Amino acid sequence: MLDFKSIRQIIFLLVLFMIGGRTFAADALPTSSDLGRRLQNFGFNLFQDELLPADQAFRFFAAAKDGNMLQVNWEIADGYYLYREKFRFELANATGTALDQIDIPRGTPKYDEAFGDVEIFHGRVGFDLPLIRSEAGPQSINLIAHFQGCAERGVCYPPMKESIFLELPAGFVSSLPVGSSAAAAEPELSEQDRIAFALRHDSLALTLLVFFGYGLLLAFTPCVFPMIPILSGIIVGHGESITTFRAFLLSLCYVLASAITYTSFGVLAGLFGSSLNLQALFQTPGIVITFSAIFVLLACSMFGFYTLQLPAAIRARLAGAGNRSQGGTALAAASMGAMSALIVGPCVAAPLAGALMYIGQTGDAIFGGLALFFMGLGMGFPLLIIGTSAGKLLPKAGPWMNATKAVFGVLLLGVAVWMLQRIIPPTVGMLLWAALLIIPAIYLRAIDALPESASGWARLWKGCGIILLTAGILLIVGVASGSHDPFRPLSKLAFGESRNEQPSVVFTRIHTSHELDRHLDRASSGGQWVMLDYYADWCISCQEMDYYTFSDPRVRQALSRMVLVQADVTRDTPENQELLKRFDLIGPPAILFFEPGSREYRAYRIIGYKDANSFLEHLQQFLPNV
Amino acid sequence: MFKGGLFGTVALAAICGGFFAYQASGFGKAGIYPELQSFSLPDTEGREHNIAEWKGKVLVINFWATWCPPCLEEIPLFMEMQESHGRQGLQFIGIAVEDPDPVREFSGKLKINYPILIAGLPGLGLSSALGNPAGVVPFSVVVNREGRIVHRHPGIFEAARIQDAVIPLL
Repeated sequence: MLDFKSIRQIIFLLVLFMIGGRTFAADALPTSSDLGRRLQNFGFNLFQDELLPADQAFRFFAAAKDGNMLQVNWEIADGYYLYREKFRFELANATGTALDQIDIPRGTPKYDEAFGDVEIFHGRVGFDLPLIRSEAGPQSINLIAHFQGCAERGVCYPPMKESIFLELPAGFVSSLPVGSSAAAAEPELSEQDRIAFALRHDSLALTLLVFFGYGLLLAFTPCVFPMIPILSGIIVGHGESITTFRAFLLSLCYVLASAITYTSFGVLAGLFGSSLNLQALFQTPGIVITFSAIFVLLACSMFGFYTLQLPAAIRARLAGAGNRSQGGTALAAASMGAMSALIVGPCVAAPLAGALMYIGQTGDAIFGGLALFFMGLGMGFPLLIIGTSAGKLLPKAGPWMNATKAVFGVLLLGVAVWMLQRIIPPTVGMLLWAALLIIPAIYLRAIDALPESASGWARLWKGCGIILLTAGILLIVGVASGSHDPFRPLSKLAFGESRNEQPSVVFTRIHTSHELDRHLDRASSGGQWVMLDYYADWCISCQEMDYYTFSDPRVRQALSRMVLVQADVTRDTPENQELLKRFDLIGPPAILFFEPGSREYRAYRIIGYKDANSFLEHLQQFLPNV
Repeated sequence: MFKGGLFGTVALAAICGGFFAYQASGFGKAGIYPELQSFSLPDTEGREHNIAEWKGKVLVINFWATWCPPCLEEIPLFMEMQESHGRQGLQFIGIAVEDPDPVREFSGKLKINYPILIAGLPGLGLSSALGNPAGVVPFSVVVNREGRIVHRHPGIFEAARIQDAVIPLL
């Protein structure tokens, strides 16, 4: 009898005979249907039956991920591969759009007789093609992909070229002009990213100089303004005995202490990230009230209610060593500086964020800390001048001296109210402001009748008093009419058109990361952009943005078609920490933009204050239609 | 029982399959191979050659390109065979399916001892017409002394295959 093997051989020979004595490689007996199908293809196309046409062996797909990114993918049939070295792309009829540097993933190494060491891809390969654009609007582009591959069995396909038309949505304009490839490898960076990058690459001296400069610039922002009356108060409070040199020394202590505080605060924040939010920690009611109380006490001493002095016994002990008692006041100035830095003006601005990012990324606390210290010095430099000249310009004695002290007393009370505002209801805050305006006005004799013989000075003071009085009365009227905004006390009263005017941009408040996702999704399905603003009651720059930037009609117009979301991170809750951590933020202010696909345009993140004009310019960089 | 059933099924399938193959290929009609259609192509110096120039020889027409590693791998063997069997009437002809420059450089470097014609990428159309629908290289066609295509071979044309398919024709 024939066994199975011999039957197989007979059939094999039979088949071979029928197809013309040709051989084929089949070491297993195919099933009947399979055999039939295969044999149909036999004959002329020996081997070819299994060779796929190029477009089936290498299936090419491309899509526009967003306005600045294309994605290409290949599905490679089993037994086929593509060469990494042979990918090449070009854009046709794409004015104002060009391909940026492409980062192709690594393939499987292969040694090739002809090509040497090459890398190949099996199965599937895909990567992004970043675009450089000089025009941001939607556009139809033609992508041409060149690629080349072979089959494992030892045949190769000619260089393939796929041309595909893609609808490119609106994107952002890259700062690099199209065609300049010199710096094309550097991705677009936001200001703080650039600073973090510069920290890594610039020399020590240059970095410190640059950060000193950043500090100087920050010194002229409202973040630092409250420090002026505080420092001046300390110096003025010191009384007649102060010399210019001593005023300078005290100012220096104050400034150094605040710079050191900035540094340590920054280094800690950089190392521990948003989980250690010192900034928010120092905004707890206890600390705010304590600090306000200190200012009230200082103010009272300015008004001459008492003299802030060490108890007589201690003073007597120290009498012999005058220098040491001076050391005592220096210490007081220093601790005031440190506290001011933490509580009064913790403003997050781009340089601070950049330095913190650098520390967080590299763990190099020393270099990052030094940069922050120099920034703190820069911020304190104008204070140093003001403090020193306060000592010099201060009248030595007499009624002028007392009047000057009283003015600083009022200013210190102002600082106290300004701080308390963070924790008290707005109406109470406004009433305090009103009191702080009206009472000094009375001291300025605002409602006393001027005698005929009144001096020019008396008249001037009365004028000033009446201004203060009016402002104070308006505030009280504002409180009565339900306004919460000390800068717009009458906003709730109808005066013609002003009623229709929104005080500022209206945000939807969110409190959790989950809520943010919901808004992003909804905006995404509606094809809308999202602007996410991080806000806190104690964040001075945030309030500045609210008052000056978001109230600008042009800004309101520009933002009208965006979904505006505000994350209120006033309190240091786990939800708020998560919201900050999600985008590697250290704290407010921060403004993030999301395109309709929910992707953040990180390069256009805003950290710190921007006025209306620069905010609009910023928007126009990636939203040309606003 | 089992063996018989299996045998029957397989035999039937083989006969049917063979019939289809016979219908599709035309190879079943013994001795009737398609005739090689005439074509002209320039060589590396730009001189036109008609394939009829080599009529009467056993031709191995090899489609190749410098971007194709397996193509480059088999060329030394072809040169060797050309050297050893040329006098018996074996003639290799390379048809490069790419631009002249890389071909000229490569063939000059290797001192290829048989004619290289340059077809550019359109040459793949010619190779398709000769039985290479996927348009892959290397692809070789064996033409007998009567000018009929008797064998087609995609992929590397190994020495053993040449021995089987080409040498008997000489």
